[in-house]
Amino acid sequence: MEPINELSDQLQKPKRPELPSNYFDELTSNMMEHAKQHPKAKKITLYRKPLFWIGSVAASLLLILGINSIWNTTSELSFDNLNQEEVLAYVEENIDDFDEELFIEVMNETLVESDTTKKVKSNATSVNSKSKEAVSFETLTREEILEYLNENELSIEELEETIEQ
Amino acid sequence: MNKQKYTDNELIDLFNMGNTSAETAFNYLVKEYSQVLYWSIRRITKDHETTNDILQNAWIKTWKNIASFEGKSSLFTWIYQICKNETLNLLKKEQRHKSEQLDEPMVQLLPSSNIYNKYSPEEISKLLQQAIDELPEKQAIVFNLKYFDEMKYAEMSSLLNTSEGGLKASYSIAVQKIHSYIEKL
Repeated sequence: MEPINELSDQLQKPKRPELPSNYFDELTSNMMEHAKQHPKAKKITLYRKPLFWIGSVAASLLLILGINSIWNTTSELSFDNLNQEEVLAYVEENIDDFDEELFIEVMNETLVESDTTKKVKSNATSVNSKSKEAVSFETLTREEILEYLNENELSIEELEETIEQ
Repeated sequence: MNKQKYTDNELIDLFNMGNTSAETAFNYLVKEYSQVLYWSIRRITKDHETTNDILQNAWIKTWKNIASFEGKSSLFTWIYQICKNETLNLLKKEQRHKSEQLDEPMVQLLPSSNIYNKYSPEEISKLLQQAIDELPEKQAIVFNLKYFDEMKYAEMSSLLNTSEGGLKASYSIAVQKIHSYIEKL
Protein backbone atom coordinates (compact mmCIF):
# COMPACT_ATOMS: atom_id res chain seq x y z
CA MET A 1 0.00 0.00 0.00
CA GLU A 2 1.70 3.22 -1.20
CA PRO A 3 0.47 6.17 0.87
CA ILE A 4 1.01 8.67 -1.96
CA ASN A 5 -1.53 6.78 -4.09
CA GLU A 6 -4.13 7.06 -1.40
CA LEU A 7 -4.16 10.84 -1.75
CA SER A 8 -3.54 10.82 -5.49
CA ASP A 9 -6.76 8.82 -5.89
CA GLN A 10 -8.70 11.67 -4.35
CA LEU A 11 -6.78 14.89 -4.90
CA GLN A 12 -5.08 16.71 -7.72
CA LYS A 13 -2.57 19.54 -7.37
CA PRO A 14 -3.00 22.49 -9.72
CA LYS A 15 0.00 23.76 -11.66
CA ARG A 16 2.10 26.25 -9.72
CA PRO A 17 1.83 29.90 -10.75
CA GLU A 18 4.72 31.49 -12.67
CA LEU A 19 7.25 33.53 -10.72
CA PRO A 20 9.08 36.66 -11.88
CA SER A 21 12.14 35.61 -13.90
CA ASN A 22 15.39 35.47 -11.89
CA TYR A 23 13.39 35.85 -8.69
CA PHE A 24 15.56 33.47 -6.66
CA ASP A 25 18.83 34.91 -8.00
CA GLU A 26 17.72 38.41 -7.03
CA LEU A 27 16.56 37.20 -3.64
CA THR A 28 19.99 35.66 -3.02
CA SER A 29 21.76 38.88 -4.09
CA ASN A 30 19.56 40.97 -1.78
CA MET A 31 20.17 38.68 1.15
CA MET A 32 23.93 38.63 0.59
CA GLU A 33 23.93 42.43 0.42
CA HIS A 34 22.18 42.48 3.76
CA ALA A 35 24.66 39.98 5.23
CA LYS A 36 27.66 42.06 4.13
CA GLN A 37 26.18 45.16 5.76
CA HIS A 38 25.39 43.35 9.01
CA PRO A 39 28.38 41.17 9.97
CA LYS A 40 27.75 38.21 12.25
CA ALA A 41 29.69 37.99 15.52
CA LYS A 42 28.53 35.24 17.88
CA LYS A 43 29.39 31.57 17.59
CA ILE A 44 26.97 28.65 17.41
CA THR A 45 27.04 26.35 20.45
CA LEU A 46 25.37 23.03 19.83
CA TYR A 47 23.11 21.22 22.28
CA ARG A 48 23.31 17.42 22.53
CA LYS A 49 20.33 15.14 23.02
CA PRO A 50 20.44 12.75 26.01
CA LEU A 51 20.78 9.34 24.38
CA PHE A 52 19.28 7.35 27.23
CA TRP A 53 15.92 9.08 26.90
CA ILE A 54 15.75 8.30 23.19
CA GLY A 55 16.72 4.74 23.95
CA SER A 56 14.07 4.39 26.62
CA VAL A 57 11.29 5.65 24.39
CA ALA A 58 12.41 3.51 21.47
CA ALA A 59 12.67 0.39 23.60
CA SER A 60 9.29 0.93 25.17
CA LEU A 61 7.64 1.62 21.81
CA LEU A 62 9.16 -1.54 20.42
CA LEU A 63 7.93 -3.42 23.48
CA ILE A 64 4.40 -2.15 22.86
CA LEU A 65 4.57 -2.96 19.15
CA GLY A 66 5.98 -6.36 19.99
CA ILE A 67 3.17 -7.08 22.40
CA ASN A 68 0.66 -5.93 19.79
CA SER A 69 2.08 -8.37 17.29
CA ILE A 70 1.90 -11.18 19.85
CA TRP A 71 -1.77 -10.41 20.39
CA ASN A 72 -2.24 -10.47 16.65
CA THR A 73 -4.80 -7.67 16.83
CA THR A 74 -5.27 -4.74 14.46
CA SER A 75 -4.63 -1.28 15.88
CA GLU A 76 -6.16 1.94 14.60
CA LEU A 77 -2.92 2.94 12.89
CA SER A 78 -1.51 0.43 10.46
CA PHE A 79 2.16 -0.39 10.88
CA ASP A 80 2.05 -2.88 8.03
CA ASN A 81 4.46 -0.84 5.95
CA LEU A 82 6.93 -0.15 8.73
CA ASN A 83 9.83 -2.27 9.78
CA GLN A 84 11.69 -2.05 13.07
CA GLU A 85 14.36 0.23 11.61
CA GLU A 86 11.71 2.70 10.45
CA VAL A 87 10.02 2.74 13.84
CA LEU A 88 13.33 3.40 15.57
CA ALA A 89 14.22 6.13 13.12
CA TYR A 90 10.81 7.71 13.61
CA VAL A 91 11.20 7.73 17.39
CA GLU A 92 14.68 9.20 17.16
CA GLU A 93 13.53 11.94 14.84
CA ASN A 94 10.37 12.76 16.76
CA ILE A 95 11.77 12.43 20.24
CA ASP A 96 10.74 15.98 21.10
CA ASP A 97 7.11 15.10 20.43
CA PHE A 98 7.07 12.32 23.01
CA ASP A 99 5.75 13.23 26.40
CA GLU A 100 6.97 11.12 29.31
CA GLU A 101 3.67 11.08 31.19
CA LEU A 102 1.71 10.19 28.08
CA PHE A 103 4.18 7.47 27.33
CA ILE A 104 3.92 5.93 30.79
CA GLU A 105 0.13 6.09 30.44
CA VAL A 106 0.30 4.17 27.15
CA MET A 107 2.63 1.62 28.72
CA ASN A 108 0.24 1.23 31.62
CA GLU A 109 -2.79 0.76 29.39
CA THR A 110 -0.93 -1.74 27.28
CA LEU A 111 0.36 -3.82 30.14
CA VAL A 112 -2.63 -3.91 32.46
CA GLU A 113 -5.55 -4.05 30.06
CA SER A 114 -7.76 -6.56 31.85
CA ASP A 115 -9.02 -8.78 29.02
CA THR A 116 -5.60 -9.23 27.47
CA THR A 117 -3.35 -9.45 30.48
CA LYS A 118 -3.49 -13.21 30.59
CA LYS A 119 -2.33 -13.48 26.98
CA VAL A 120 0.57 -11.11 27.67
CA LYS A 121 1.62 -13.06 30.69
CA SER A 122 1.53 -16.42 28.98
CA ASN A 123 3.30 -15.14 25.85
CA ALA A 124 5.86 -13.20 27.85
CA THR A 125 6.65 -16.28 29.88
CA SER A 126 7.19 -18.40 26.78
CA VAL A 127 9.40 -15.75 25.17
CA ASN A 128 11.49 -15.30 28.28
CA SER A 129 11.91 -19.01 28.89
CA LYS A 130 14.58 -18.93 26.18
CA SER A 131 16.72 -16.41 28.01
CA LYS A 132 19.55 -17.47 30.30
CA GLU A 133 18.08 -15.73 33.32
CA ALA A 134 14.33 -16.14 33.64
CA VAL A 135 12.57 -12.76 33.66
CA SER A 136 8.80 -12.53 33.77
CA PHE A 137 6.62 -9.52 33.08
CA GLU A 138 4.47 -10.82 35.91
CA THR A 139 7.06 -9.64 38.42
CA LEU A 140 8.02 -6.37 36.72
CA THR A 141 6.17 -3.11 37.13
CA ARG A 142 6.21 -0.45 34.44
CA GLU A 143 8.33 1.77 36.71
CA GLU A 144 10.90 -0.99 37.00
CA ILE A 145 11.06 -1.42 33.24
CA LEU A 146 11.49 2.31 32.63
CA GLU A 147 14.03 2.59 35.45
CA TYR A 148 16.03 -0.27 33.98
CA LEU A 149 16.07 1.39 30.57
CA ASN A 150 17.15 4.73 32.00
CA GLU A 151 19.81 3.25 34.24
CA ASN A 152 21.40 1.29 31.44
CA GLU A 153 21.53 4.23 29.04
CA LEU A 154 21.07 1.92 26.10
CA SER A 155 21.64 3.20 22.59
CA ILE A 156 19.12 2.37 19.88
CA GLU A 157 21.50 -0.08 18.24
CA GLU A 158 22.10 -1.88 21.53
CA LEU A 159 18.39 -2.05 22.16
CA GLU A 160 17.75 -3.51 18.75
CA GLU A 161 20.36 -6.17 19.40
CA THR A 162 18.89 -6.94 22.80
CA ILE A 163 15.37 -7.25 21.43
CA GLU A 164 16.42 -9.39 18.49
CA GLN A 165 18.25 -11.85 20.75
CA MET B 1 31.05 28.11 -9.93
CA ASN B 2 30.60 26.54 -6.50
CA LYS B 3 28.62 23.29 -6.68
CA GLN B 4 29.86 21.91 -3.38
CA LYS B 5 27.31 20.33 -1.06
CA TYR B 6 27.68 21.12 2.63
CA THR B 7 26.43 19.20 5.65
CA ASP B 8 24.91 21.04 8.60
CA ASN B 9 28.10 20.54 10.61
CA GLU B 10 30.24 21.98 7.83
CA LEU B 11 27.91 24.95 7.53
CA ILE B 12 28.07 25.55 11.28
CA ASP B 13 31.87 25.47 11.10
CA LEU B 14 31.76 28.06 8.33
CA PHE B 15 29.38 30.26 10.33
CA ASN B 16 31.68 30.00 13.33
CA MET B 17 34.67 31.07 11.25
CA GLY B 18 32.82 34.34 10.57
CA ASN B 19 33.49 36.93 7.85
CA THR B 20 33.50 35.59 4.30
CA SER B 21 33.16 31.96 5.48
CA ALA B 22 29.93 32.81 7.26
CA GLU B 23 28.75 34.62 4.15
CA THR B 24 29.54 31.52 2.07
CA ALA B 25 27.43 29.41 4.41
CA PHE B 26 24.57 31.90 4.33
CA ASN B 27 24.73 32.16 0.54
CA TYR B 28 24.56 28.38 0.32
CA LEU B 29 21.49 28.20 2.57
CA VAL B 30 19.64 30.93 0.68
CA LYS B 31 20.37 29.31 -2.68
CA GLU B 32 19.56 25.78 -1.58
CA TYR B 33 16.47 26.33 0.54
CA SER B 34 14.69 29.40 -0.84
CA GLN B 35 12.65 27.59 -3.44
CA VAL B 36 11.16 25.02 -1.07
CA LEU B 37 10.57 27.66 1.59
CA TYR B 38 8.94 30.02 -0.92
CA TRP B 39 6.29 27.48 -1.90
CA SER B 40 5.70 26.45 1.69
CA ILE B 41 4.91 30.07 2.57
CA ARG B 42 2.92 30.73 -0.57
CA ARG B 43 0.60 27.80 0.07
CA ILE B 44 -0.55 29.80 3.09
CA THR B 45 -0.34 33.42 1.96
CA LYS B 46 -1.58 32.79 -1.60
CA ASP B 47 0.26 35.74 -3.14
CA HIS B 48 3.77 36.47 -4.34
CA GLU B 49 4.40 39.85 -2.72
CA THR B 50 3.48 38.70 0.78
CA THR B 51 5.47 35.52 0.33
CA ASN B 52 8.50 37.49 -0.81
CA ASP B 53 8.28 39.82 2.22
CA ILE B 54 8.01 36.90 4.62
CA LEU B 55 10.85 34.96 3.02
CA GLN B 56 13.19 37.98 3.08
CA ASN B 57 12.33 38.67 6.72
CA ALA B 58 12.92 35.02 7.55
CA TRP B 59 16.37 35.07 5.93
CA ILE B 60 17.29 38.28 7.73
CA LYS B 61 16.26 36.69 11.04
CA THR B 62 18.22 33.56 10.17
CA TRP B 63 21.38 35.58 9.60
CA LYS B 64 20.84 37.66 12.71
CA ASN B 65 20.02 34.73 15.01
CA ILE B 66 22.16 31.93 13.61
CA ALA B 67 24.18 31.87 16.86
CA SER B 68 21.03 30.75 18.70
CA PHE B 69 20.75 27.61 16.55
CA GLU B 70 21.26 24.73 19.00
CA GLY B 71 21.30 21.75 16.67
CA LYS B 72 18.12 20.25 18.13
CA SER B 73 16.85 19.93 14.58
CA SER B 74 18.46 20.25 11.16
CA LEU B 75 19.29 23.74 9.92
CA PHE B 76 16.53 23.40 7.33
CA THR B 77 13.92 22.54 9.97
CA TRP B 78 15.04 25.49 12.08
CA ILE B 79 14.78 27.91 9.16
CA TYR B 80 11.46 26.36 8.11
CA GLN B 81 10.10 27.13 11.58
CA ILE B 82 11.30 30.73 11.33
CA CYS B 83 9.38 31.02 8.05
CA LYS B 84 6.29 29.50 9.60
CA ASN B 85 6.41 31.91 12.56
CA GLU B 86 6.94 34.86 10.23
CA THR B 87 3.96 33.76 8.15
CA LEU B 88 1.64 33.34 11.12
CA ASN B 89 2.75 36.66 12.63
CA LEU B 90 2.12 38.51 9.40
CA LEU B 91 -1.27 36.93 8.89
CA LYS B 92 -2.15 37.82 12.47
CA LYS B 93 -1.11 41.42 11.89
CA GLU B 94 -3.24 41.53 8.78
CA GLN B 95 -6.02 39.80 10.72
CA ARG B 96 -6.63 37.20 8.10
CA HIS B 97 -6.58 33.53 8.83
CA LYS B 98 -4.46 31.20 6.79
CA SER B 99 -6.23 29.47 3.93
CA GLU B 100 -9.13 31.91 4.15
CA GLN B 101 -8.33 33.42 0.81
CA LEU B 102 -10.13 31.68 -1.96
CA ASP B 103 -7.71 32.08 -4.85
CA GLU B 104 -4.99 29.56 -5.64
CA PRO B 105 -6.48 26.43 -4.08
CA MET B 106 -3.79 23.96 -3.01
CA VAL B 107 -5.69 20.96 -4.34
CA GLN B 108 -8.94 19.91 -5.97
CA LEU B 109 -10.90 16.70 -5.81
CA LEU B 110 -10.68 14.33 -8.73
CA PRO B 111 -13.94 13.35 -10.45
CA SER B 112 -13.22 9.77 -9.40
CA SER B 113 -13.23 10.78 -5.73
CA ASN B 114 -16.16 9.53 -3.68
CA ILE B 115 -16.56 13.01 -2.18
CA TYR B 116 -16.16 14.86 -5.51
CA ASN B 117 -19.46 16.75 -5.28
CA LYS B 118 -19.14 17.46 -1.59
CA TYR B 119 -16.38 20.08 -1.60
CA SER B 120 -15.20 22.85 -3.91
CA PRO B 121 -11.41 23.15 -4.56
CA GLU B 122 -11.27 26.00 -2.03
CA GLU B 123 -13.11 24.02 0.61
CA ILE B 124 -11.08 20.85 0.22
CA SER B 125 -7.87 22.95 0.22
CA LYS B 126 -8.94 24.55 3.48
CA LEU B 127 -9.70 21.14 4.98
CA LEU B 128 -6.35 19.78 3.86
CA GLN B 129 -4.54 22.75 5.42
CA GLN B 130 -6.44 22.24 8.67
CA ALA B 131 -5.47 18.58 8.65
CA ILE B 132 -1.82 19.49 8.06
CA ASP B 133 -1.98 22.01 10.90
CA GLU B 134 -3.09 19.21 13.22
CA LEU B 135 0.11 17.23 12.53
CA PRO B 136 3.21 17.47 14.73
CA GLU B 137 5.70 19.94 13.24
CA LYS B 138 8.07 17.37 11.79
CA GLN B 139 5.34 15.25 10.24
CA ALA B 140 3.86 18.38 8.64
CA ILE B 141 7.24 19.28 7.14
CA VAL B 142 7.74 15.77 5.78
CA PHE B 143 4.23 15.73 4.34
CA ASN B 144 4.65 19.12 2.65
CA LEU B 145 8.03 18.23 1.17
CA LYS B 146 6.83 14.87 -0.11
CA TYR B 147 3.32 15.65 -1.26
CA PHE B 148 3.59 19.21 -2.52
CA ASP B 149 7.25 19.49 -3.45
CA GLU B 150 7.52 15.84 -4.55
CA MET B 151 10.94 15.67 -2.98
CA LYS B 152 12.71 12.32 -3.04
CA TYR B 153 13.35 10.68 0.33
CA ALA B 154 17.11 10.73 -0.31
CA GLU B 155 17.14 14.50 -0.75
CA MET B 156 14.80 15.00 2.19
CA SER B 157 17.04 12.80 4.28
CA SER B 158 20.03 15.12 3.88
CA LEU B 159 17.84 18.19 4.35
CA LEU B 160 16.29 17.01 7.61
CA ASN B 161 19.19 14.87 8.89
CA THR B 162 16.84 11.89 9.17
CA SER B 163 17.05 8.37 7.80
CA GLU B 164 14.91 7.52 4.79
CA GLY B 165 13.16 4.87 6.88
CA GLY B 166 12.17 7.46 9.46
CA LEU B 167 10.88 9.79 6.76
CA LYS B 168 8.78 7.05 5.16
CA ALA B 169 7.30 6.26 8.55
CA SER B 170 6.54 9.94 9.20
CA TYR B 171 4.92 10.36 5.80
CA SER B 172 2.87 7.21 6.13
CA ILE B 173 1.53 8.29 9.52
CA ALA B 174 0.86 11.83 8.27
CA VAL B 175 -1.18 10.56 5.31
CA GLN B 176 -3.20 8.28 7.57
CA LYS B 177 -3.95 11.16 9.93
CA ILE B 178 -4.99 13.42 7.07
CA HIS B 179 -7.28 10.71 5.71
CA SER B 180 -8.84 10.23 9.13
CA TYR B 181 -9.31 13.98 9.55
CA ILE B 182 -11.07 14.40 6.21
CA GLU B 183 -13.14 11.22 6.55
CA LYS B 184 -14.39 12.33 9.97
CA LEU B 185 -16.14 15.35 8.42
